[in-house]
Amino acid sequence: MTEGPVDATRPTGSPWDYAPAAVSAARAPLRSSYGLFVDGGHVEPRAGGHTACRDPRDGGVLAEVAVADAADVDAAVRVARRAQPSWAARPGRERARVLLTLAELLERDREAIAVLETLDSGRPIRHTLEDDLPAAADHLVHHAGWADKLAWAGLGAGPTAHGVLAQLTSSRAPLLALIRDLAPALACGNSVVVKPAGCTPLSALLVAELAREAGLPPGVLAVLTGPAATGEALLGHPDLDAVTFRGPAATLRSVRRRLAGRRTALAHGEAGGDIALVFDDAAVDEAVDGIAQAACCNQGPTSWSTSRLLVQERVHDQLLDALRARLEGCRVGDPLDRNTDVGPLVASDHLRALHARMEATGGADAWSASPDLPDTGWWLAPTIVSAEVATTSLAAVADRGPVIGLQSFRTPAEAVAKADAAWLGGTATIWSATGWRGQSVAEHIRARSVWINALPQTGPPDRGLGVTPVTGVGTPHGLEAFLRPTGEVRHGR
Amino acid sequence: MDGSTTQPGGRLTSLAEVTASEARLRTFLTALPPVDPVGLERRAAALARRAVVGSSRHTALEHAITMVDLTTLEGADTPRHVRALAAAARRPDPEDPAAGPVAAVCVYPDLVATAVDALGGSTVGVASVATGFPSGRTSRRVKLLEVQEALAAGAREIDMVLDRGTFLAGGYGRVLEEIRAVKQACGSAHLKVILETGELGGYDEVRRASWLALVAGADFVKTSTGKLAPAATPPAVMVMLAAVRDFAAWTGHVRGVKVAGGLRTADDAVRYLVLCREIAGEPWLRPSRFRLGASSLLEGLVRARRRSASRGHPDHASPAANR
Repeated sequence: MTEGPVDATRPTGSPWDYAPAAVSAARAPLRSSYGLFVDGGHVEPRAGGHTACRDPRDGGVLAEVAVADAADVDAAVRVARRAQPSWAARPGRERARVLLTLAELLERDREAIAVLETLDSGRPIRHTLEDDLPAAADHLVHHAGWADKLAWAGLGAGPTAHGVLAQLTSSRAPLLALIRDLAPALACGNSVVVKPAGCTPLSALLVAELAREAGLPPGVLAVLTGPAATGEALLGHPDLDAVTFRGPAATLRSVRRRLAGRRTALAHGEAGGDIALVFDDAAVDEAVDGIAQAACCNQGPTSWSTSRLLVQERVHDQLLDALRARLEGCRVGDPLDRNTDVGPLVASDHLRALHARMEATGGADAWSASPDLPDTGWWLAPTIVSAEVATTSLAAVADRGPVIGLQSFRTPAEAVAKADAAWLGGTATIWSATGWRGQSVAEHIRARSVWINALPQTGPPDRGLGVTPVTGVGTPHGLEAFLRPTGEVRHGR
Repeated sequence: MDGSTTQPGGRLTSLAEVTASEARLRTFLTALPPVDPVGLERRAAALARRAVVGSSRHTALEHAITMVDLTTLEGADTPRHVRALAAAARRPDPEDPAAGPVAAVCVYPDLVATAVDALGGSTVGVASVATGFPSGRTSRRVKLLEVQEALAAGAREIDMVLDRGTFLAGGYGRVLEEIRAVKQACGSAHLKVILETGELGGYDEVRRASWLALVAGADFVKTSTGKLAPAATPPAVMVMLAAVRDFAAWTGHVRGVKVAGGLRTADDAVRYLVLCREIAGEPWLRPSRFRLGASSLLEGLVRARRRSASRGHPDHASPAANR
């Protein structure tokens, strides 16, 4: 007898769902038109004109943003070059003060910035407000702490800043991606010319204004908006000391090629999504939840997104069922609604690219969740593609949307081989409850960082993650990307 | 469904095979997938941030009231006190007959007759604790006698306690037999098994105890006696909800979850409803499959419901609200 003596009919008789809980879009400090941010203020572009920055929810225009051409790039780099020596010459504690003040301003204007970020990138407000903004503030605070302790960074007693740094950031969690490179760059005394992704420029412009308010000297930070051509022009500028890059793997490759043979160093390049490996002894529910969050919430709490999934054969069907059920439960909708899990894709190009690649895998089983998608805007339901054959090409675009390429493996060695075969420079997450299994696979797999039984993390190194990455980039603090070791000679100056 | 589909561990097994011997039962229970506590607690924290506002909050409060097992399990309980409780159970909001009634009243066996009498003619059920509540440390004979007395006095629901000592010592077969024996004594009355999650030592044990109780025939798995801290916690409840969900997928039998202990505010109740909806699913959002055991919670729910009704279900809320 499974039904008890009381089986009262429910008061309303209809399924209980969450009422809309949308934050008002009016909270965002949106202007109708933005110039470039150079030398501490907004300037009009010389000849590039303006282009529309679009709202992914419906494709409508949010604002007009400037297009920087080669002349604008040159002007910005010159200004940055002029401003850099005095910024680097300041005592570290003064640079720290600026960064700490910027962190406070991010706190003060938290809601406004989060709503702006959500409008621009489609990332759900839950994540921008509760994950990104605090994480960005944490990065600033963490690196402010380093600003006056560079002599103890493990690079000698007197490491120097690179000089002028070009920063090319991604459209995935744009604010967080910006701050993660900007904070250490400024803390080390570099001046930075930022080229945000063409489709998500607004948070970078806002951060530049706040930085100025926080006391950053004019010229130290510039923001040049525009399409890929602007990035090309910036990369080609002869007077750059270093470049940092976050974005698609193919673009990173072309950036490396462009920098080859030049004195401009690639300080830090990050591309490639995450691959999740699930073993038969994994905690199934938690693995499924982690994968769903990192993959379908492409705008999720991590700025790495899981685009590939390798499952041990023994639990393949069970995991697939559980994952499908979990993805069906993901709420796809208005990113300004606090209960939304999956927002729209950032750009219509991404949507087209994903559709094209999924068709090109021709005949591979594709399963999609079936939420109600709005008619306008760039929406994609969470999708799993069984992609034994077309892994690399799918992985290259899968991280732009809630798409997972699924493969299976029989043994750990096979898992590592399959993961490495299509490695694009990304990270790996291993789900296995057996301690030695996770460690041994982590030691063999090619990955920028490896997590075991955890979501890829984007906090600063000391942010109490609960799990430390097994492998990482260079030194634990990553500052070597933004500093030259003591005594290293700068070429050409 | 005949109960012989792919078992959670991935091998083909049926309910009958699993319980055929102590060895089989042990293999089954120890082969259940592990629980990753970090991931589980992270998801619990994320689900606690669901914004339940306006009309959906009002609906949640109404559901919650009908899911309450209004409880009094004190040494100082008197018949008069139980009668007052019964009155509140029938009519949770004196000013509004549309609210409630609650699902059941839960008392000690010697007060069942009073409760039955006070609730005559209403839909509110009478549940009795039994089997040496709260510790379970008494003989099988006494436990069964207690159950029989409660039933004879008119209880239609029995809340038994899991024998934690035997469970932690690994005597899964004996625990199974005991639950089966109590279930048999229950007849058509429904049986809840209190796992006392705070005593079990970890989420893996909560999962194991849930499955043991379900396989033994429990109609409900219940978190706590309310006499021990920690009582119910969101992660433990999530493990139990996943167990009943997966049990239903495996066998076709739908069992329930009761959250008891530590429920104080309307917000607590709404958060557990969110967990029920997101982990087990929409079909579990009814009193026959989800219960909230509490004593002071009811007043809080009634007040919150009144406030929500008077506000007329506002549609928008700032992020600062709903904290």
